[in-house]
Amino acid sequence: MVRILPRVQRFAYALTGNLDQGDDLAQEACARALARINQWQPGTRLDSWMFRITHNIWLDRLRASKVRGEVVDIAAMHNLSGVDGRDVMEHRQTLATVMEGVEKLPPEQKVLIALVCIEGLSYKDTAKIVDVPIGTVMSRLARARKALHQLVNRESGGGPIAGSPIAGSKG
Amino acid sequence: MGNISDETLMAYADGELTGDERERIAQAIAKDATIRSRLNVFTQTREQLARAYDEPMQQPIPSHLMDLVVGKTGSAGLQSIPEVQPRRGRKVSIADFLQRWLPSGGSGFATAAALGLALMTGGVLGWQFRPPEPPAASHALQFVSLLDGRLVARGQFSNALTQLASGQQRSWSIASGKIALKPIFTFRTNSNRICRQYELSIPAGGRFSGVACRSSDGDWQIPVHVALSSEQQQPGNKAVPAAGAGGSLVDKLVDQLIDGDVLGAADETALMKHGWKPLP
Repeated sequence: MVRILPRVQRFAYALTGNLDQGDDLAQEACARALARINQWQPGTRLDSWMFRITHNIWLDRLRASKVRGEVVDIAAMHNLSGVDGRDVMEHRQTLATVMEGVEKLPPEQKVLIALVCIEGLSYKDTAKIVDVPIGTVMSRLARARKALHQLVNRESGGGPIAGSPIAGSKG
Repeated sequence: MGNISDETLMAYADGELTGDERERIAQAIAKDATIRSRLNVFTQTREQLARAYDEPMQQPIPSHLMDLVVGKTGSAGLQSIPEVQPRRGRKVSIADFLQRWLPSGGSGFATAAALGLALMTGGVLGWQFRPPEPPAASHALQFVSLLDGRLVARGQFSNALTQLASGQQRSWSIASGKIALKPIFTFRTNSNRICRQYELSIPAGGRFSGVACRSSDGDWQIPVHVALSSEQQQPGNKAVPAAGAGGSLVDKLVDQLIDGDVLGAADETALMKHGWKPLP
């Protein structure tokens, strides 16, 4: 589990878009995993199981925050891109834009970005973790990445814009 | 050759295609610039996403997280795991636990025995700096040398392995940017050697994971060092997906080698003070 820890942490960070919240999420996921280690099925992948737990907690929190009407921590988001922006290198700006784009994605697309593109999981493992058919994983993921790509190229003054706004599409 | 959907191109970029279909897409990409630019959407986003979420993580794993899993004194945090019987007073370890339950091998590459052997014979599973651009290649020589057929860490690479606690990171500058190294954890092998798993990132954006084992001469030998990045862009615009297999290869090697638990911070500090010589 120690070996998986950095990945759980990064996954939680990608989902929440915020280091503190990511940490908090990762911590709860670890605590829950340890408490329920006997529910983990031997022979299945531990990392998938941990990602699944993390994802579930995150979804619970999203639901809860919707009920309570909590707002996104905008200060933290600004802080995040500010850190990158301090560097003059253009690619950092691009990466900050990418992260802002991920923030805007609907949750069901965001988790796919995190699992496939950031954690490098296969479509099959990803489909199992989020409990949707692999075809749905692929169509949502393709849509999310096209939106991100568009956003980055638009921000960097690149090519023309076409297609739907980034957060408008539902899988 | 028919239309190629975005999903298929994405699957190609992500290393999900095999056999004929993969070959068919590769040919289409080679022939058609439009398809190449469509593919680019997926190779680029993947590469950018992997980097974007890595940069801010370049800091030690928070101690509260580490404590939770490893326990402050080594393995205390996991001693409550059910279904694992301690053997003759040995500590119940994560590695034992994982090793006992995780499927061994089976994903199509080297067997456990072969992996174990790689270390003993100094076999090299792969030292992949990027396709050697001149600056990267010349700098590589400062950080690694070949000794009796074994790769050995040198210079800053070696210093960082010797001086950093797990979770700490050090970076240093070379002509093309910064190289950063972070030891992830330290463990003892079943032949009583001390090894450390580390992650290394290079200016071109690649990330690598490897294992360094302390020799009796005080060198850090590198039995395995593999790319973690999801794709490598090759000349001719042909994406060669590796789908992050490197990480699991390193994990498997560690699983085969490890004896007992990953070492806790206190044990690690003690080792560091003793020049990383295994304590009896």
